Amino acid sequence: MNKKSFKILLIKDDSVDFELIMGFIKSSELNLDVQLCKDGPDALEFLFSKEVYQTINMPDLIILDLNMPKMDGLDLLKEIKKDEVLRVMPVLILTASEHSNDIKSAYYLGANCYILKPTSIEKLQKVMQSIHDFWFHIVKYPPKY
Amino acid sequence: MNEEMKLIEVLLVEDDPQDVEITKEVMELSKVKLNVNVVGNGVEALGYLRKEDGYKDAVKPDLILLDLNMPKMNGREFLEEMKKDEHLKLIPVVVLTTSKADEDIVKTYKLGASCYVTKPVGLDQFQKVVQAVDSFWFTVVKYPPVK
Repeated sequence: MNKKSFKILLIKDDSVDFELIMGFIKSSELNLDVQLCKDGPDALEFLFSKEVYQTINMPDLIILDLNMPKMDGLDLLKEIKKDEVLRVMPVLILTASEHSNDIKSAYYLGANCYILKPTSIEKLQKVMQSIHDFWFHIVKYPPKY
Repeated sequence: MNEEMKLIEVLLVEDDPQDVEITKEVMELSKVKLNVNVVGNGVEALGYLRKEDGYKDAVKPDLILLDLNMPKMNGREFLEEMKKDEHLKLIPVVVLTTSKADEDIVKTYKLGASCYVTKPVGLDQFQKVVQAVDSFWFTVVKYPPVK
């Protein structure tokens, strides 16, 4: 990985959260490159495009919401984890859903971890900091093409 | 965040006694209540998870910390086996190893590891890594409910 540069794919339709998350990401000392997809079909189109699929442009990490229009986050997760190339990318579920069925299904389908999105801004920042400290400083990623 | 502060069960699959000792020591300092059980290889880990002989009282872990290079059954073989098992595949696995080989990284992610973490050489560095695992996996992550 050259000079701590990360590509993150953020898949969510809620623009309020997006602003907050982007604000946080911009404050990072790392070079974080964030792509936003507003729903599942949008994300699949991006991931399977010839500029991204099996190239250096693949995201290092995906942050995925569950409740989205058009295609449920779990269906999208299933598509990503079914694909031999895409499945190595860690997918972090960040959602307001606390349903045990969602948690179970997400792990069953291969989510790398499940994070409950807190309701307060302050707590969301703490969660983002913790994601940042662990996933961008400690974790090793597969090499890209 | 897991505000209710429930007890988190951890299974450490590691054959190096020194690494076991450091990992446990750092985890004891955690703000979260943890119960860490240790097994020395993949065969023992599967026995533990399936509550076979010698592990009748084993408690299903919330998280597995897995070394890769171990005798009898290594971490890759164990991961492949447990992620095939419908009852075990939900448990997240953090790979914690000295191997920096790309093939190990790719293979373990393909097999369903949640993340890949390398063990640094120095003691201080290793403590930092264990602390980072602690502050993400034990405070932020939600685990599937245990039946």
